[in-house]
Amino acid sequence: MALASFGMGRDVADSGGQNDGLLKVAAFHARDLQAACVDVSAMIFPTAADPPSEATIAAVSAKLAALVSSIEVRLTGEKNDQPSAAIWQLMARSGFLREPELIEFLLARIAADRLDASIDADGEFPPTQQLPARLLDHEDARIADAAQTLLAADSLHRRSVGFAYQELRPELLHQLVWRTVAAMEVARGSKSTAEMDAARQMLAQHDEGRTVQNAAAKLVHFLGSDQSFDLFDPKPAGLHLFIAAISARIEIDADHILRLFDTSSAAPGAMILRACGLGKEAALSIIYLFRGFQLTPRDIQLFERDYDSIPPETARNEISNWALMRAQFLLSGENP
Amino acid sequence: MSVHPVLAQPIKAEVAANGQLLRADLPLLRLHLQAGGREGGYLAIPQLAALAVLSNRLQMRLSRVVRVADDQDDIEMWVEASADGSVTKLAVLSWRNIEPRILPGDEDAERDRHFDALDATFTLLFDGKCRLVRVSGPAPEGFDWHQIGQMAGPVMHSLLSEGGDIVADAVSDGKSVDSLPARLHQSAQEVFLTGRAQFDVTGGIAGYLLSIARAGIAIQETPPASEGLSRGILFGRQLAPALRQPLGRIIANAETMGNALQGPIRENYSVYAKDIANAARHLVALVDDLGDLEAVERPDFSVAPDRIELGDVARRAAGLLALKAADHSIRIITPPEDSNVPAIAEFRRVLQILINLVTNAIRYSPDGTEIRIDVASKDEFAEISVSDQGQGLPIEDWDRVFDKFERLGRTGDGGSGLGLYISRRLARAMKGDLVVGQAEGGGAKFTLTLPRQAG
Repeated sequence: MALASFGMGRDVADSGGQNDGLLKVAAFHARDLQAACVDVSAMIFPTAADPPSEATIAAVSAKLAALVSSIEVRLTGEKNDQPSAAIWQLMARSGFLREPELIEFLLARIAADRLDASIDADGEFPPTQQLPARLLDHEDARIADAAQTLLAADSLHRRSVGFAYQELRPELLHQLVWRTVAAMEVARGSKSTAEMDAARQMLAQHDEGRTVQNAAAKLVHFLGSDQSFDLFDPKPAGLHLFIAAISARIEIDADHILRLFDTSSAAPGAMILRACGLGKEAALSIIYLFRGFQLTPRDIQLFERDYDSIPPETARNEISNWALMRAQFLLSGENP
Repeated sequence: MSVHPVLAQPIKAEVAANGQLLRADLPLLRLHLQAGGREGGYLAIPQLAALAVLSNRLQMRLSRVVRVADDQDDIEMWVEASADGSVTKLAVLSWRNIEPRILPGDEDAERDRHFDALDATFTLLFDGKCRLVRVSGPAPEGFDWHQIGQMAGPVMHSLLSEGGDIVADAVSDGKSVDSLPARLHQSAQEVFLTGRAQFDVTGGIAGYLLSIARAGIAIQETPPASEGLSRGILFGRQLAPALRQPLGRIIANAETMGNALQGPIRENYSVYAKDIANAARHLVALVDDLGDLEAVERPDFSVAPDRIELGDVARRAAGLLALKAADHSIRIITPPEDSNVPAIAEFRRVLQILINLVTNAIRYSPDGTEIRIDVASKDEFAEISVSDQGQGLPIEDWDRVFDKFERLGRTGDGGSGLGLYISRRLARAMKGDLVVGQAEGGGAKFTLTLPRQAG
């Protein structure tokens, strides 16, 4: 199972109690994590039963560990690329690590990694030739500044080590930091003023505007209705601007869009592109870029027969309903 | 290449932790006053107030696009909020007027399009008893519709000399008619009719919309929205989404109030808010059930059978409901991984039936019990059963429980009385059946039978 592989890379036999305990806890909570993933994925695309693959579950586990570890390192100052077993165990037991919102965030990051890799693999537009890099010289200083922020944040995100927490939404970061502080207190049996101060300082220093998503949204906003840039072609625009442009056009959360593009079916992605008013040829080329050989005869048929007949407004309605169901699930934990 | 009217200087404001507007530059102050706020009062622009309060609560720097509306336009702005102790400083970096957006499910826009379509065609709207309610659009030449307006009681039959019977049948069955040749009584003129039944929220027929065009003139479809995907599916595709959105908002707002997310409230108010949220959730479930009901009762409803393995479906259903069961300390026992009971059926429909059965079992079983899903092959059929350790059903209710809206006297548990009815219709559409009996130990045992895959 996914979390059973958590801690790989260390010699389990020689690790003493630390890794054994970690593996035990991980195995214990693996089923819960899978159940949460299944529930969340069912909400993301509710008309299909689309459980996450083992690879996705493994990736969620790895990112979750990196996230907790990056916060722990910031709070304690001790360098470690895995969360300590006691903290991990306490947070897992509290149920926080299977919060749908947190799992959704991680699923969106995994989706972004995969989609980004597709654009990289295509090779037509290397990152240095994509729009954010070209906008560095824009005459509008705010656009140039936002482009620089986007590139810096993306670079940090790609390097990832120790900075995993920086992409979290402020609300989620706030929760995760204080949960970690609480877990550390419980594990140690006493409060630590130094850790609490570190937590406050960490949150005060966090700037939502420095995240990849926010910088991309800001760029799209400031570019406004300028027609000279094709934001709806992910190859020259880059993944983040492409997703941010869609998000602004259909007013749906960017993470939700990322996850819909990364489901096992091409249909949700097609529906999004239709909602943006894209024609069949443009949409098919985007879907082919992201899915390549994974396109099934059914997907092809969807484009050949149905795509152009779906009114953009109907597509927007459908996507809006999915988003509503997801929001309702996150709010109430119940399938609407 | 200036592409955006960027503000030379940010527009600034300061907001207290409780949402009170402490100071604001003129454009923001004007917007605040237009929105009904007063100087020194709470910031009356909800999107900005929410951003300010959130930044203050988290003590973090936020940066977001915000869309607000004044009395004429929608305004899109990029706003940065930074908390400084108990005061949040807002800086608006851009400010531009945008076209008011037509959001999905916007009832007004839908209505306007509907009326536009009505204007283009001679259209008669009848109520559920075939009485004329409204006439719109240009009447066919020689047709004096004023006389129709003066008639009392049912008038649909008196309109048509030919085609009236077909329309009457369509009205009583809630079916549509398309380009039906007919002849008007008054003018003996040949016309083509297009009719659509109108449904109320319970799925009952609320009326009938009849469009009349002279022979040779194409009839404009009404309503045009969602054409293609949703033609002929009124509730599930058109009304249900429109209902889900306001219900979703009710749930979200009631939950916000109930959990005191916007500040402390009296305990009994919190309980009321949670009651509202639960009631709205029940309505959402009912809307979904009615959408399914409409689908399964359509004469052209069909399934797409495929080769499936029932053990696999059982494990997926159990996985989807694992958390819900765990909340009640209920254990779902599924068929072993190596089970092999192939059947011919539509995967998602079987999953839908199983989810309904297992959800019911969780709902009506005591905490800490077990729900068992078994699969088996019998002759030319494959079976999958869901057994629980609840009170079970008396034998006289074994048929009745599958009736439409039948609740067996139960109330307040979130059920609509449609799930089992729909499930049985789906089972039969797949050439199978769904029955109930008694499980070992006295609980209920629902058995879904499906055609078995040969070989």
